[in-house]
Amino acid sequence: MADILDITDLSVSYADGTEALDGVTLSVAAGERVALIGPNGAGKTTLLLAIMGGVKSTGRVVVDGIELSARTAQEVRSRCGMTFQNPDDQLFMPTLLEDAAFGPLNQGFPPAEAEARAGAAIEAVGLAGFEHRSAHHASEGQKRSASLATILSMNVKLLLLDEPGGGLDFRSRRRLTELLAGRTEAMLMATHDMDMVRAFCARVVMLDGGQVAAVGSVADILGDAGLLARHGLA
Amino acid sequence: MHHRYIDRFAHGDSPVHRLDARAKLIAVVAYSAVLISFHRYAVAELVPLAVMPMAMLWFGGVPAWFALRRVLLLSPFILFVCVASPWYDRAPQMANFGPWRFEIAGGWLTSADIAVKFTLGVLALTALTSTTRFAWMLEGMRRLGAPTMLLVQLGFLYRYLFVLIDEAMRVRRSRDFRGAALAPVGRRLSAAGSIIANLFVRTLERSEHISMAMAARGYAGEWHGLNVLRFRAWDGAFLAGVALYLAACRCPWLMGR
Repeated sequence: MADILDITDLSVSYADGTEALDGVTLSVAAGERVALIGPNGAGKTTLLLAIMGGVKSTGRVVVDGIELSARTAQEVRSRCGMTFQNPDDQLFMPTLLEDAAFGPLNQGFPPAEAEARAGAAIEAVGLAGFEHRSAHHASEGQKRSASLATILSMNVKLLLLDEPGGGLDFRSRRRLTELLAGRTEAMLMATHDMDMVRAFCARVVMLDGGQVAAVGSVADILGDAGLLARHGLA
Repeated sequence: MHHRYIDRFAHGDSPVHRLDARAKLIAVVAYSAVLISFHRYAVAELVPLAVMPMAMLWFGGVPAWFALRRVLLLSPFILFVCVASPWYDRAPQMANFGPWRFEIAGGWLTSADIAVKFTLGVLALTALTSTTRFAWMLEGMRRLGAPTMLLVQLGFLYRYLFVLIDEAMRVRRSRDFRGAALAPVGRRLSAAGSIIANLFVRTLERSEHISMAMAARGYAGEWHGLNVLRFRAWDGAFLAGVALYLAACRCPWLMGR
């Protein structure tokens, strides 16, 4: 299967000299679900932001055959979508429908088409009937689902999910896992939720100190108690 | 303070709710213009202007107590002006209230004028905001040509004001649970300063995240909106009715009075 995401030697340094990512190399195949695990401060969120062109980086990021640069950033963003850790950062429009339509409108779809896509995405995440509600009328679980709808409406091929199950109760997390398991897009999911990783990821990339510490199948990585302990995950 | 207080009746369903947001916006702006166009001594002539906001509230299913609470909530801002007016304008004026005519200092008439105009203005705005979803109001303003930047700012204000209030409440609670009430005034003030600074930094961080979230979904400086509004014949009839009503209020001689 062709790779939808190809990252080579990606590094990110912050202004204070902190090396957030240091020579990260990884790939995600089309339709593949990859979990990104690691202790706090490992660089998981920074990696997702770097893929979207949200932070300055060096190295090579290729999404669906397009190499990320200042010139191609918009093209890359129409092929991959990211949800943020805090859904309040993701849902900034007055209603959920407008939030889900924000991406398609920026992609150049006419308002009627954007509205149809937004409506379909909201229905797909189980929020039909909530279209004209504001995010502050929604529960945490509904906000997470609505966040997902904001990128599903863009028909992207790669979903970058930052802590999708964070702050959710068991039932909401299970619902979200089922929802994600039913999708065909490739996913790179930064998470601490090992149950979610076991439930539907095929491969795990472990980050620590901005570097790739291990890559392997879910069984190999999560079954290695020593590895997990060395990197503060057990 | 909770968002449900502001939104409480806006999501209802009534003939007034079903009117196009643009029709209601134009009506309320025209109403406000007519309201402030009356001379400050012509208090009695303002009475017919109570009909429109009352009717919108009534047909919109918005309880009177809710609207009057809004008036009371905002009244301290205007109270000072009302109280001060009689001191500045003591010239005698003839006041006409139907069959009653009497002489009174102009300042008292000005006070009454300010109070009545303020009350009617707030009632009209309450009728508008309580029968129109905020998103549709913004869309109506956009379609009427309001500056995009203003609308974006209003949208963010509506979306994040309550997030900020919730955060402030949580931080305050955390401070109170650690015995802030027992601390000396100096330390309490210092804590309040830290809380404000903390909220400011969080707001800045959030604005960065929102900016990234917008960019991640293809925002490149141009704002687009959905066309959720439909202007129907009924909206035109409503506007025509309002125009006739306002003309009758402002120029009664036009109606043969």
